[in-house]
Amino acid sequence: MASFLLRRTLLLLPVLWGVTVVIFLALHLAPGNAAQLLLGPLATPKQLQALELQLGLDQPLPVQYLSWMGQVLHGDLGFSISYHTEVSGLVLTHLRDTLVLAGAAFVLATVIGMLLGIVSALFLGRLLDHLINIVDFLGLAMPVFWLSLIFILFFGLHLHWFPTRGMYGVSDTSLLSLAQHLVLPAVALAAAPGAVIAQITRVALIGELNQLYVKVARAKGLSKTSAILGHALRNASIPIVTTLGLEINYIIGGDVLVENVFNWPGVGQLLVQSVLNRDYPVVLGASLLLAVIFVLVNLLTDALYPLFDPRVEVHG
Amino acid sequence: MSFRRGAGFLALAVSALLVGCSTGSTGGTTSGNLTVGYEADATSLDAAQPTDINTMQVLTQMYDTLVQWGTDKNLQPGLATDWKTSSDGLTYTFNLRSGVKFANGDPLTADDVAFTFDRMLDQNSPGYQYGPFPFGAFFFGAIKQSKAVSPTQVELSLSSPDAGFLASLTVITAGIVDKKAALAAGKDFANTGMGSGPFMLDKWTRGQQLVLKVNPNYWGPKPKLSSITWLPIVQPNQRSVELKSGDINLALNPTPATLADLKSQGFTVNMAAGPHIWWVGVNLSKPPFNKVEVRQAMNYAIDRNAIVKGILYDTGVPANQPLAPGQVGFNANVDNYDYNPTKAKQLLAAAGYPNGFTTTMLVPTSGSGMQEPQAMGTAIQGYLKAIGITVNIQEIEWGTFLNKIGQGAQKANMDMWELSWMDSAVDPWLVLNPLLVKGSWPPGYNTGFYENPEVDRLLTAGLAEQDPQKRDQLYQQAEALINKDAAWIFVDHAKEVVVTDKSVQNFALNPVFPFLIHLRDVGRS
Repeated sequence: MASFLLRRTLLLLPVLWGVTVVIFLALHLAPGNAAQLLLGPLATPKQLQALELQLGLDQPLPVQYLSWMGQVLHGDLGFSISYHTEVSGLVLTHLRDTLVLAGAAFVLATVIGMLLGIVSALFLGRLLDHLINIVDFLGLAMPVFWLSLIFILFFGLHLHWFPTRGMYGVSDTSLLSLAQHLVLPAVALAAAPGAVIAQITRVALIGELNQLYVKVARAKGLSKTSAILGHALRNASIPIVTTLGLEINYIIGGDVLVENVFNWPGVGQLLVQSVLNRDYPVVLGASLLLAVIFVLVNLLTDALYPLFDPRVEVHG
Repeated sequence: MSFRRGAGFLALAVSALLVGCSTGSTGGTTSGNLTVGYEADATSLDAAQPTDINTMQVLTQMYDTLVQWGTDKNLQPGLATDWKTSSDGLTYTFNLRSGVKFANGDPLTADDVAFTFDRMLDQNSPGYQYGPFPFGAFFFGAIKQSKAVSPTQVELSLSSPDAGFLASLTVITAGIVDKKAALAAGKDFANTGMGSGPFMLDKWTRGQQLVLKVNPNYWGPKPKLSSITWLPIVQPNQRSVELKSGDINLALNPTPATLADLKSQGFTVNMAAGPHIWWVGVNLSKPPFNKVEVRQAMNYAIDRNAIVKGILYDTGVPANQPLAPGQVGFNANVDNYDYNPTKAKQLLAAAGYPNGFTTTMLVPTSGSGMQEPQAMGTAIQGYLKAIGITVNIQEIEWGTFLNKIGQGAQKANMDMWELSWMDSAVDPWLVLNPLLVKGSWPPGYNTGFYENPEVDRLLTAGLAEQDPQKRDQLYQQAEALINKDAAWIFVDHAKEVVVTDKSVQNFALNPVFPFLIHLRDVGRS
C-alpha cells in the first residue's frame, strides 16, 4: 500500500505537467487573445500591439510557457488579466466555494441515491421499486440547467421557500444562510448522479441477493433487511464505490451550469468566463488545481478498495 | 424500523428549519440601501482599467470627471468649474473646483489630474506599471502633455486639434484618481480604488457582492442612499426573477421579453435610446457589395420596425444612419429606407442581379452591445431571402469573431458581418472617423473598405472645427452621404433598460448617455 501511494502521488507530476502543456496550447491556438477581448471592437493593431506588450503576450509561446512555469514552481500563479488580482487568491476562493456546492451535491446524491437503491432492492418487483425507478429515470432525463430554472421559478419565486441566487444572504454570512442557499443548487446538481447511484446500488444488490451466502444467512434466521444491509451491501460496494468516483467527475462538470444559473461564485463560472476572455493565467491556474483534485480523488477511490474487498490488492 | 422513523423526523426537522427561516435575501430590508442586479462581477475598481461597461456602472458612482453631460448636448462642469481652449485648439486649461477631497480625505489637486492621464499614456509615469489601461490610448491618445500649472489649474496639451476632446473627458476612464492612494496601493488599487465621487468602497467579496457606502467627503449634494449593494446576476432572465422575488431593487438590462410582465406587476421600466449603432457591415471592395444599388436594396429589404418590435421588444430604435437621434450631427432628413421589398428587387435588378446572389454573414454568439445577434441575424437572412439574396450564416464565438474583424474584410475573407458600436464619449468623431474614413481602412476600424472622398473631407474638417453649429452641419452633411451611399445595412440604436421596484425614488436615465446609471440622487421609500 505504501509503495502504491508513493507511486501514484509521484504520478501527479507528469500528469500536471501534461495538463499545463495541453491547456496552454489549446488556449493560445484559439483565435483571439486577451488583449483583443479587453479592447473589443476598439482595437487598432497599434493599440493591440501596445497592450500585448504590456501583458507579455508578444513573447514567443515557449518563452511565455516557461516564464509561467517558472512562476508556478515558485508558488506564484500570476496575475489575472481580466480581474486584476492574484490568480491564486481568486482561484482558491472560487474553488473552495465550488467544493462546498459539489460536496453537498455529492453527499446528497450518495445518501439519497443509495437509500433509494437499497429500498428498491428490498421491495424488488413491487410498486415501490417501480416508483423509485421512475424517479431515477426522471432524474437522469432532466437536464441540470433546465431543472435549476424550474427550481428557481417554483421553489424560489412562487413558493418563496428558498433563496435563488448566490451563496449567502446580502449581509448574512451565517451557516444557516449558506445552508438555505445550498438547497436548490445542490439538489439540482445531485439529481442525475443520485439517479445513477440509485440504479447501480439496486443492480449491485440484486446481484448479491442471488448469491448462496445470502440464502444461508436467511436460512440461519436473519430477516431480509438484515441480510441485505449487513452482508450483501458490503459485497456490492465495489461497483458502488467505482460509480461514486465517476459521479464526482460529473458533478464537477454539471457544476458549471448550476453555478451559472444560481450565480454561485464557484470556479466553474470563473473558468468559463476566463476562457471566453482568454485570461490565460486564470485558466491555467484553475486547470492546474482542478487536475490536482481529480488525480487525488482517483487515488483515494483506488486506495479505498481494499477496505471493502480484502481480495483486492492495490499494486503500485 | 425505528432508525428509519428517526431519520425521517430528522429530515423533516431540518427542512422546516431551512424553509421556515428563509425570507430570501431581500435587498429591501435596509431602507437606506439599494440593491442592484448587474450583469457580472466588477473586474477592477481602478477607473482606467476596465473596458466593460458593466464595471463602469460601479465606477460611475465612485469617480468624477473634469466635465460631464447634463441633460442636453452641452457639457457641464464636473471637477472643473470652467475651462478654455487655446485659439489653435491644442491647449486646454481647466480650473478645478476648490475644496474637493477624495473619499479618504486627501485633497484633490491638479497633480492628481495630471497623474490620471500621465499614467495611461506615459511609460515614465510611476503609475504606468500598474496598468494596463486599455482605453487610455483610444480616448486620450491625442494628449501630448498633462501639466499641473497650479494646485487648482491643469493644462492638457494635444498633438493635433481635436474638437471632440472635451467630450472624451466625460468617459469614466478619465475618472480622476487619488495619486497618493494609487501609488501606495500599487497593483492592489484595483481592489479598492479611490475617487471623489458620491460613493466609496465599503467591502467587496469577489463573485458574490460589492457594497458601496456614502463618501463622507463628497463635494456635491449628499446622496439619499446610505449604501448600494451590487449583486452579479449573469443570466438576464434571472435579473427579472430576482426583481420579482424582491432580492434586488434595480435590474440592469433584464431580458426584453420579460418587460411587459414586469410592467404589469408594478415595476417601472426605464428605457432610453443612446449613442449606439447596430449594423451589418459589407465588403465594399468586392462585388456585389461594391454597387450602391445592391447596398440600398438590402437596406430597403429589411423591416427594421418588425425587428425592433418582434425581436427586441422595443429595446431599440430603428436606424438609418450611424449616429443616434439627439447626437450632434444626426440628420433628420435622410432616406429612412422604409421596408419596401418591391423597390429592393428593382434596385437589385438595376444593379445587374435580377436573380439575387449567394453570400455569407458572420454572426457572433454574444458580445457587448450586440443585443440579440443570432435572432437578428436570422431575421435579416429571412428578409434578404425574400428578395433573392441567399445568406449563409456563420456563427462564431465573440473572441474568434473579434479576431476576424480585426483583420479586415479582405484578409478575413468576409462578405457580411454584424457589428455594434457604443459611443461612450457621445461625440460624432469617435463614431464616424474610426469607422468610415479612408484613413481607417484595415488595419483600422473601417473593416468594409468604405470610401467617399467628400465624406473624408467633411469628417476631417469636423474634427478641427471649433464652432459647435458649424461642426453639427459638417457631420449632418457627412451623415446624408453615408446614408445615401448605404455604406452599411443600418439596423437599430440600442436602448438602455433599467427596471426598478416601487421603493426606488427619483431614478432617471441620463438622456445624453443613458448607458451608465447615476445613483447619487436616488432614494428609497
